[in-house]
Amino acid sequence: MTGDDFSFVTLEGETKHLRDYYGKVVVLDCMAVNCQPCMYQMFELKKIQENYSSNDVVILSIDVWVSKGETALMLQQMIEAFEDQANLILNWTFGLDDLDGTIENSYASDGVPALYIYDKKGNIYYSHVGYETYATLSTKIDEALVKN
Amino acid sequence: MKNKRKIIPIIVAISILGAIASAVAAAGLVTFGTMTITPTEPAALSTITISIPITGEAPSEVRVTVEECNGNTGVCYPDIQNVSMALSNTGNYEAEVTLKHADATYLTCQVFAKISGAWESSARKNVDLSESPNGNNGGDDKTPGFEVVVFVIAIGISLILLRRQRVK
Repeated sequence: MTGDDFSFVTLEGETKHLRDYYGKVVVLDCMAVNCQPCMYQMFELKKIQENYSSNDVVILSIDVWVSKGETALMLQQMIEAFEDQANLILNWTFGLDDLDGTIENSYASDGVPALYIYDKKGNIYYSHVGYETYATLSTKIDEALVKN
Repeated sequence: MKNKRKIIPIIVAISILGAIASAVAAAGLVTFGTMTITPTEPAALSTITISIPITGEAPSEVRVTVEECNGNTGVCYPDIQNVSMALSNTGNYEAEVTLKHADATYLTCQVFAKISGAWESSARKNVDLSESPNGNNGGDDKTPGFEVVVFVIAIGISLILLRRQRVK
């Protein structure tokens, strides 16, 4: 299954494309601030960030409920709240979907969180709607890493 | 979420959502009272009444969002309902909302009031849903739900109609 290229704007205001990460395994986390399971998911993503080199695996958490009123400020407040209240530093790439919900419509129309693992060539290797554990995600990442 | 839940992430997640809500509502010109949901533990697909007192500057518009989630699969559905609330004779703002997802296990409600052109928001309220009378709440058991019964009846009626047509 080939993943279509998509673009998003990072919290720093930079436009990024999936193709910018070709050569690495990408974990795409389509999430929303107003989604409790998405908050639980952050703990699992943090384990990925801690246990894999950023040369091999990239995590992209994209807020796909911008069309429902979520903003960069809300996303930033969420990241700060994790740091303040859980001492959990979410230091991977965070971004936002556009107001039309382009990424949401393609990748998260059944709900959030929606998780995708892309292989190094940008093909979707694994997808799952709903919270997923580090154990399952790391197994799929390991498989995707040796695939190419 | 099966056995995936751990108590610390849950507590942290709830406090983080609370912190975000209170940060947003910090500079408010209105005060949101306690939101009440009737019935207190509604079933999936049922109609609920949401009520909240709002004091301070009179809002020009009040709306409530209702987000349905399934705690077993850890997913929140994107079709969030955004419903206008009317001022009732009890002085509270009220709205009736019919829930959409048979497998939702909880919902989150948040009220927004428009004051001088700007929206202010209440704290979010989580409500656990009771076991659906249709038998499908949670979705983990193998018991057929109401829609299966309807489906079987529909097939039965179709077969009867087909037989009648053939007889004619």
